[in-house]
Amino acid sequence: MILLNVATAVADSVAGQSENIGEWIQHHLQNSHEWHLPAYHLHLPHFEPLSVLGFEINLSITNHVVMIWIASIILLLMFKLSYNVKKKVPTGFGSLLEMLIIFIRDEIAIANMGEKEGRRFTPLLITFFFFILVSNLMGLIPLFTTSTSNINVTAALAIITLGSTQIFGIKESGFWGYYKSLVPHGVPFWLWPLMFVIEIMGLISKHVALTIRLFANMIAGHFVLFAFLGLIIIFKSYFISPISIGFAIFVYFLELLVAFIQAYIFTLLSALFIGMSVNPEH
Amino acid sequence: MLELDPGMMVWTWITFIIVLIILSKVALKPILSAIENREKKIHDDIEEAKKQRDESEALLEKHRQMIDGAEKEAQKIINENQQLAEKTRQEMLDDTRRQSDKLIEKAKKEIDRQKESALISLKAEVADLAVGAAEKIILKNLDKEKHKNLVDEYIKSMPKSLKN
Repeated sequence: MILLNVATAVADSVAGQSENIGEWIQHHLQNSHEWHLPAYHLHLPHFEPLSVLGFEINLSITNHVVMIWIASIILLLMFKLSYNVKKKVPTGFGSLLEMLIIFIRDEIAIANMGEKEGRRFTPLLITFFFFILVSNLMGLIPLFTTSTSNINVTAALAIITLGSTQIFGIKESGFWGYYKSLVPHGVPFWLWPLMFVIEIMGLISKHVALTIRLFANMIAGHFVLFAFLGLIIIFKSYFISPISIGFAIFVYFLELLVAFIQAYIFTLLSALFIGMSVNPEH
Repeated sequence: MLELDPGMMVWTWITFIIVLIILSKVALKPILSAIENREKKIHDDIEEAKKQRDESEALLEKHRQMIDGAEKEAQKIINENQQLAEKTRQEMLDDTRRQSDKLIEKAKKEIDRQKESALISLKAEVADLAVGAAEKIILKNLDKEKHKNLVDEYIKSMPKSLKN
């Protein structure tokens, strides 16, 4: 019954938008104020935008906000339920978690930040990794969407990395010391203003790249997935469906891989950036 | 798709920071410390095992040396005893030989002595018997003293032929 309803709903929306597949795909990937559950559109609370320092901040609970909350709950439950600290040797899912934790600690944190700083930042990096991983994977489950395919989410995460690099860098070597260490040694004195501007631009562009990389990877996979399925509607034929679905499944597995790779890359680069700022080159 | 939505960012920050705090307090800190403790324990155990292995190897080496020493000692004792036994045997053999030689010598002497005395008594007996017989045969023709002297002379001339 539910399936039939879903099929009807999909057919309706397709009928309405079959003329423009591009718009249909965008509609599905966009943030919205509804959660499209089977045969029911859950309307999420809508707040008046606040105006802070000239910015208009709309704190309405949107689809992606709900998704990151669900991701957080999954993350917390995953850690709380599957890992028993009292057990000497973890079993089942706990051993997988532990493998990932040790990997992040040893291969990402300590390898890029050094022994002391690595251990200090391990919780942050583990949270980054699992938060992004769960968010990425949620897009592959029906009814859920990927919150990391929203550029604001990835930008917020990258800004957390940026903030950590600045705060801990300043904490480590002082305000002037930190910004002086941005300019590489051996640069002539008269080039310092130019180098400083370039380094600041590099700092920002690194984090923008971090944002775009995660966002683009996540949204691209879904674009391709939807595009393959949209072929059925474009050709208006059932015979194309085996090919589309075959390719869609292939892309689905590719997305599975990409979800892990992007979570890993984001964490690795965050570790690299924070490590560079807390361990300034001498 | 690329429009800026500060509200979304704020929600992400709030959620992420809360998750970070709860996760690190509730799960990550205990897990990381448990892992670290386990790693430390494994490390210590390995160190301990290494130490014990070194110790036992040293002990084994010592025991091996002790066994070697004991073997040499035993060999030495056996050799000594063998030599001693050989010497003792030789001595005993010599002793026995000497004693038996002595005994033989003694026995020979005794035999000679016995023979001598037997011969002497035989001589006397024979002389007496001869005298008696001669007395009976000749009787009155000759006095006893003359006959005896005659016979003694005869006997004295005999020994050479008797000894053979």
